[in-house]
Amino acid sequence: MVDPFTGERCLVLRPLVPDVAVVQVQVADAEGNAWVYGPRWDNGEQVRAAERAVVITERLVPTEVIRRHPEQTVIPGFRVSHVVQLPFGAHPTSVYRAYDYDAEEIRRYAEAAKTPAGLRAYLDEYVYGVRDHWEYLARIGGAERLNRLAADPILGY
Amino acid sequence: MTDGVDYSLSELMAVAGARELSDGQIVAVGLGLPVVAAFLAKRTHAPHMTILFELGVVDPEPVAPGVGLADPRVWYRATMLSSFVDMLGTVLHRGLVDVGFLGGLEVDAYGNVNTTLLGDPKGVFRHFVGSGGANDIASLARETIIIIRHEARKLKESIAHITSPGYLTGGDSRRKAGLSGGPRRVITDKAILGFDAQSRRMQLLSIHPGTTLEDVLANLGFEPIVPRDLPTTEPPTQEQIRLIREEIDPEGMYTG
Repeated sequence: MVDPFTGERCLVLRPLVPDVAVVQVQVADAEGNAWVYGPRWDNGEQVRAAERAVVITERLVPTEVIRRHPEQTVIPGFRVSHVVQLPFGAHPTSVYRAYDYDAEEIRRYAEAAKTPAGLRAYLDEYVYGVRDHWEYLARIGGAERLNRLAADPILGY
Repeated sequence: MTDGVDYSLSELMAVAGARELSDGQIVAVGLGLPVVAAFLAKRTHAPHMTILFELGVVDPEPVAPGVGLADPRVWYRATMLSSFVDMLGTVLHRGLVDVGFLGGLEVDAYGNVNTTLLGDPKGVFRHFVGSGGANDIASLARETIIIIRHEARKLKESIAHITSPGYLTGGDSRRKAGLSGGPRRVITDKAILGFDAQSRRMQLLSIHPGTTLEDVLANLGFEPIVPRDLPTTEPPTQEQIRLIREEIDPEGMYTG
């Protein structure tokens, strides 16, 4: 197209409008007002672009907490359709300032995923074979293992 | 090797990458050897260089190597943590990135990079990780440095897909496509290559110690321009190797 300001020819791209965005954050309230610690990647843009947005949060806090530090809000609640409170929701990957990645578990998954049968066995054990997220967390080692992954407050991992 | 420094080819590549960087530059870095190269430059001749990671990390000072850009180990002590849109959309698009590092599955004679897919003669395609921020960096950085293993199946006359543009079909085709900049160096484990100022075709600049010109050419999938006078790549210094092994990549994750 022709740029109306300079008259130069330029390429234009149609915006992406996903049906649903799913983002993981550290802190959110029940309205979906969400804080992202560390790099925000493209979480904010994904939510703004999508028709609907699901926010998965490590911690659910009262809106009063959000109102005390509104400058930390990356995602406004009015763009969010669902909020899911799910501690250790990114396991075995990491959440900055919350917990480190679980290298041992990722290695186990990578090994299993080398063959279709191995992947099937892994999914049966950790995905289809657990009642809910809590049973998943118990299966990967429970409180003891999760405590070992807790982020150092200075390093953030 | 007058001082007899012992080094690996990965270390030599990281040092060669560091030498391409100057103090005061803004450098977009991807994970792997570019991180080692950038931190080495920063700790030696380029203390005022600014290192950017595309996801929004500015000027970090890690104390441990990370397994990927998503690993918070490589964000430690950053001066700013922002977002992809900030890094790619404002910093890079504004033309502020002096040097970007690129890697890839395949590179052709004009520095075009494929990170998307490989085909076989039966027409079966295997898909790989794709661009990430690499296309933006290849298109918009003032110059890029490509780091790739020196194998004929990776350095080819033509590639299966152009993910990130180099000099396209050579000559002034990149400029005609509306892009300035372009690749400046290709660093392999056998040689350092640049690009001819007119044809924009890859040309040999130096070959690494212990490698022969025959070996370099036999493992290239195209014929580069070979200058009559071809120097040997300058080997790393003792201090560069010490910094890599003791401080930047102590576990040898990228340079072991």
